[in-house]
Amino acid sequence: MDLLDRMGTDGHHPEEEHLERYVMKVCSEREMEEIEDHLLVCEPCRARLYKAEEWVALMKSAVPLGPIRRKPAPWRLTFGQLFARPMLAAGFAAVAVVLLTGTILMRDSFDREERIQLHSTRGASEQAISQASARSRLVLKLDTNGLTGPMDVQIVDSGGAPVWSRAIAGPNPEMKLDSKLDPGLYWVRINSAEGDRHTLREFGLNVR
Amino acid sequence: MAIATEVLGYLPDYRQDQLTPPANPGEGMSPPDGSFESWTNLVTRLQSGDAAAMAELYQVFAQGIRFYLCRQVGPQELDDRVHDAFLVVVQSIQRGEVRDPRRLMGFVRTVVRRMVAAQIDREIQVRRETTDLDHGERIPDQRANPEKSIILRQKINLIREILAEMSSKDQEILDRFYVREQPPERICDEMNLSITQFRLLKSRAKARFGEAGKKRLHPGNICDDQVRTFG
Repeated sequence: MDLLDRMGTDGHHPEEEHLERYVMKVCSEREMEEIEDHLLVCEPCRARLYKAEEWVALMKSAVPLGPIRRKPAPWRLTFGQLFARPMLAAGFAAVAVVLLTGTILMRDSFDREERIQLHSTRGASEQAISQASARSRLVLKLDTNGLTGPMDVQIVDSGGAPVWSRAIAGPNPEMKLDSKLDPGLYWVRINSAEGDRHTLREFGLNVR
Repeated sequence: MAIATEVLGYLPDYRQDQLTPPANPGEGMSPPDGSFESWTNLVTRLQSGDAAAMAELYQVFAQGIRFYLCRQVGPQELDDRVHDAFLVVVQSIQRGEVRDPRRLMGFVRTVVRRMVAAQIDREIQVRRETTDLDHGERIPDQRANPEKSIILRQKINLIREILAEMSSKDQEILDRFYVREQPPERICDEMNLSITQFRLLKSRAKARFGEAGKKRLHPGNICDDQVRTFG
């Protein structure tokens, strides 16, 4: 239905949209005349026109400015400023890559388990001492062939001070150490768990 | 923000101050029913010199004329101008210049429009004649007062907050209509919308603005329904 049919002579009021277009001066001459005719006799529509004027003015001012962007946290601002310079950003990126790679490699190394087959040192020689890494968590594979009775395993440093010990259950066990060993020479002893607890077998372990 | 304040700061501030009629509150609030018969009847009575018809005409049109004049030529000497316009309208009707009484509103508007045009011509003439005597032009400061500027700034911020909650499509519609001033038909056509969707969006934006304004004015208040229930 045409605007002119809806308002003016039959008591209908202009729609919001027409009032806004009248305020913006973008309606046709005919529409404008009809709205003005109606406004001459309609107080409520004059009040609506004030509101429409205010609304249009607000929208014309606010919409071009766009929605309000929330203020970023201070740390984001700082990072934003740092990364605003391309060279600086590239430098940070390179350092980050190096650190990340190093961390991954280091973590990989620290978390790695190393299984060590221990050899008896009776008639000791350089080759008889097993080699291990200080960065790895050690799993010692003990040779208990020929040994009987309750036994325990003990690690002592080069000065004879105990570092770690655990009871042995079963033949040729694999003993997982709780913590890493510092670099140095160690002796892994299988002791009898009965009587005078004498050493039944001894292995050399060089941690580097 | 500065741009917005500047724009709104220069809005003419004629509304509440100058347009509030000095007469009693009921005056001008009851236009005739708008039917052709009532306008014809009013014109006939005016032509026969009916004083009551004159009062009725004044009651119907005085505020409208005041409103129109104020918007077009400003609030200076408004009462006198309204009176002059009314006299011209009555005299024209009595002289039989209203050919189609059903178009009385259009007739009144034409008369007032001519008065506005004449007034503007007069002002231009006066300005031309007095331009050599003046040492500088006087431009009235039409900016809103600081309090109103702050209120407007707050309203703009509120609208921008509401915009932030809207989809980019909704924002585009508002931008097209209010800023680029595109006709609704074109907006609907280019954005594949129905006219109902378009109107719905606009009214939703207004409603949100109203709600946000209420929340800001009364944060954490009990809603009206609860007040009524407990009261």
